[in-house]
Amino acid sequence: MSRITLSRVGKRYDNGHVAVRSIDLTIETGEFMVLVGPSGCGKTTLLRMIAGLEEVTSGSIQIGERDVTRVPPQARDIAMVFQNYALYPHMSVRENLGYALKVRGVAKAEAKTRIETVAGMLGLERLLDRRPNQLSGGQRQRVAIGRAIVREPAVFLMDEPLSNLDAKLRVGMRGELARLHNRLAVTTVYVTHDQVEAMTLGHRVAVMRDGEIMQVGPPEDLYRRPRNLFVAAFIGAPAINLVEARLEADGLSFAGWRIACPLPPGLGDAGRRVIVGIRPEAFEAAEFAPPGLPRLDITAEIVEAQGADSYVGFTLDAPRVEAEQIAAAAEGNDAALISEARARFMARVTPKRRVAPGETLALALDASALLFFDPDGGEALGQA
Amino acid sequence: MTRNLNFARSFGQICLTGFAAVYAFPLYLIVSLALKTEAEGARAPFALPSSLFSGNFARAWQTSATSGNASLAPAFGNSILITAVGVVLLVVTGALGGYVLARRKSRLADWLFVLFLIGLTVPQQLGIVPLFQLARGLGLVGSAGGMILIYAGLLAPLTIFLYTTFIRALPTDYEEAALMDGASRLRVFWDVVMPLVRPVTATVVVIQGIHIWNDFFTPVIFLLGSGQQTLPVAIFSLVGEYATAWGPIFAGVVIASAPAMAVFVFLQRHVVRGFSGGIK
Repeated sequence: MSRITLSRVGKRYDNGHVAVRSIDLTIETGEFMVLVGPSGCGKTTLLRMIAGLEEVTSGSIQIGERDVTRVPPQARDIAMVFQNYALYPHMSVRENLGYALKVRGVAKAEAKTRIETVAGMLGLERLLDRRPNQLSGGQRQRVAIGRAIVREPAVFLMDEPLSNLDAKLRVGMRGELARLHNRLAVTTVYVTHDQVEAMTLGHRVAVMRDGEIMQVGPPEDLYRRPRNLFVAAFIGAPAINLVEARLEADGLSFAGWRIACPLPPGLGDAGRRVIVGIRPEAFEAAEFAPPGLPRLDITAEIVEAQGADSYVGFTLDAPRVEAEQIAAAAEGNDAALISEARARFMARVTPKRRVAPGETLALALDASALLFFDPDGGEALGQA
Repeated sequence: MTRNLNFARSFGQICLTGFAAVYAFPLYLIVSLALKTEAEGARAPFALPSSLFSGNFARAWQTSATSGNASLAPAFGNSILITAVGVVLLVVTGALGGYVLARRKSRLADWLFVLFLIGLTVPQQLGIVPLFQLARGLGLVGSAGGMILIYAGLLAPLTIFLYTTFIRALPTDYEEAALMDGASRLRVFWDVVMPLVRPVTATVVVIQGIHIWNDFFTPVIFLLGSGQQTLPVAIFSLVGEYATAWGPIFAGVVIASAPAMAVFVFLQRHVVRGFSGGIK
């Protein structure tokens, strides 16, 4: 059993800064849990607290049935992959892989077998006698992962392990990490600020902000049913489209459009102002969409053809939603480089419909995919 | 343009060669006189030796100095012992102390570091009388062991300063990785930190080793009359007896300089890294 239980875990530094606020979280045995959030949200601090590298100032951490809150890192049976790999520069790959075994007094013959098994698993056989400075970024990454695997620990901790790799290698390594976890089934806590990594790797994802968990759940849940504006704005690439709307008796209106559609219960009465969130894929070029969906006529400003999909950007005749939660989320995915007064939307359309910038286009909107938020607190509305 | 540049470069090289020659001349004189007979040394002191005469080395090594019982041979042994053990002690205590001061986040650690910095600025001679009285009280005067301990204390500030500043610049990830791998703090220090601070260790070995090896002032005070004298003191003793016999004296100087130069040549690359860089 290597379930990790965090009970009211908090971290306050001597200077009074609170990095982590009373977090309750249970990570089940064999689960791949991703902690995601913008810079400074406390995700790495929380990971280091689980590792024992950072003191827990309130609450407790259990691994299995054992309270490890005050247990030093070397006695927690945890392996960690660091952001910059932290391979010992004066040791060969073989020595790096075998160091933990040597420290733990594993017999030489057994250590040799385990090192060779892991090297075989990760394709490191030919690199065993090289030093870290003779390896490429991807190879170093493999060695760092191998060093964690060879110990056969109860828990893996990974601190943004792919962030130093180039984009193509990162995609490849992401797949390998997922396969490796399926094979080893070791409880894993993975920290990243990249929400694509979070969505593709995690069995569950915990979205953090200002030392608190905003929402935890399977990636699909976070995407389809975000609990608040921050999660909605943080999860998804391209980012969710947000605009202030007014509830009507038969639907809603925004930016001069009136959309007739059934609304979920619990939204409130007609006339109430809400923030509506529309994922890019809720749109489709009208001629390729099922009949009967509400239509919006837009003028395409930018077109991003990505092969399998095309994204069309357009501006609405409505003010941009100014919510502190959205700004905080945008900081994480670098979405808001240019400040715009008007709301800008991004719609995904089939590449079969070729769109040119400046062209007027009819978009169909799948109103069942709309998300609603309270403009004051940012809390989700109308979710069961 | 290119012509001017070439001229400037050539002129610079000539100047630098001139400077090097000025600095190398005493070295040449010492080696050349050590390899000449007394007669040849007196006749043509600046000329190259007509033949390589090794008698001066044998005389310096074996002959008694100071009208008595000490020759360079036992002094050489004393110098080796005091320098080697002193440097090892400095490296071990300095690295451990520097590691603690670099990594411990407390006001006490900060103040201790400042204290060592102050130690760097205070001239040794200022505290030599009370230090002598203390050492005499503890029975450390006149013994190689006492001399080693005194050096370990006197040279601690620079050693601690070098290790602390270097370790502060090292990322903590390596140590944290070793902790996660199951190593104790002491094992992390020995297996991970010590290999990473090799450039500083080389710097300490060279700078402090050469300091102890060449030091005349401290052993004159703490070892005089004990029969445990070190090479610089023994060579000084030769001056009294062979005031006109420069051959054996310079042979002694060559014997004394050779190990220090060898160590420097062997470690100079690491020393430069110790002063200039971190871990790549």
